[in-house]
Amino acid sequence: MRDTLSEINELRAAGLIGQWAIGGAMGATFYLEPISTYDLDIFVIFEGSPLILTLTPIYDFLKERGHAAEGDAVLVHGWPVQFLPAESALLREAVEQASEIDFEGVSARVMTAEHLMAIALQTGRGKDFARVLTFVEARASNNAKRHGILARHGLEAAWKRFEDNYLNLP
Amino acid sequence: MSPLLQRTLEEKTLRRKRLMALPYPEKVRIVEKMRAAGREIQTAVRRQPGSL
Repeated sequence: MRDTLSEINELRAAGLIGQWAIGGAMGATFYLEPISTYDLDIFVIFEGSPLILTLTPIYDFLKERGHAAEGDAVLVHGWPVQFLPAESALLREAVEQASEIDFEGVSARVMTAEHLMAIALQTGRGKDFARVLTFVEARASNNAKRHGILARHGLEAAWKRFEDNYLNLP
Repeated sequence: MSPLLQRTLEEKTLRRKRLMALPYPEKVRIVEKMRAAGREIQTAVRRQPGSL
């Protein structure tokens, strides 16, 4: 994945993407045990107008560097990479406040545990709730920080429902 | 719960904690191995007679 992340940094250096961060299962893997997943979710801030947003320049850039499209992803050094625009306020904040990491000499950014939990809660599929539960059980997040994020993005009721369904069991 | 099951669950918890504590690149390599294994299984399933 080192070379994959290096290519994403090249996209940034070329001005095709703004700030970016690893999210999804590979983001969660930073804090939890390894999670089986097929692709690498890269959340990206685009500085231009969202109305004219297209991923074509990214795909073209990577294609010129020998990375072919694979379904809705681009295969970059063995990893199917999905570029996801950080369009909502929550996603944008998650990218902006991501942690800087060094991945075997390549700089990368990973969303915080608290943002990953909030995004999973908002996404709301079964596997997302399971992931939030894993974060809780592993005590891998800061409660105050998480509640701040949930409050800012109108997710307190969703968290209450999650607690009632999965944490406050009789 | 039997002592055997209790011990097994405790060992699982310890294993998960050990995995969580690994450096990120190490975890990524484990994910890559899981992905490769998943692909092998998919390929094997496709080769089975009568598979779609």
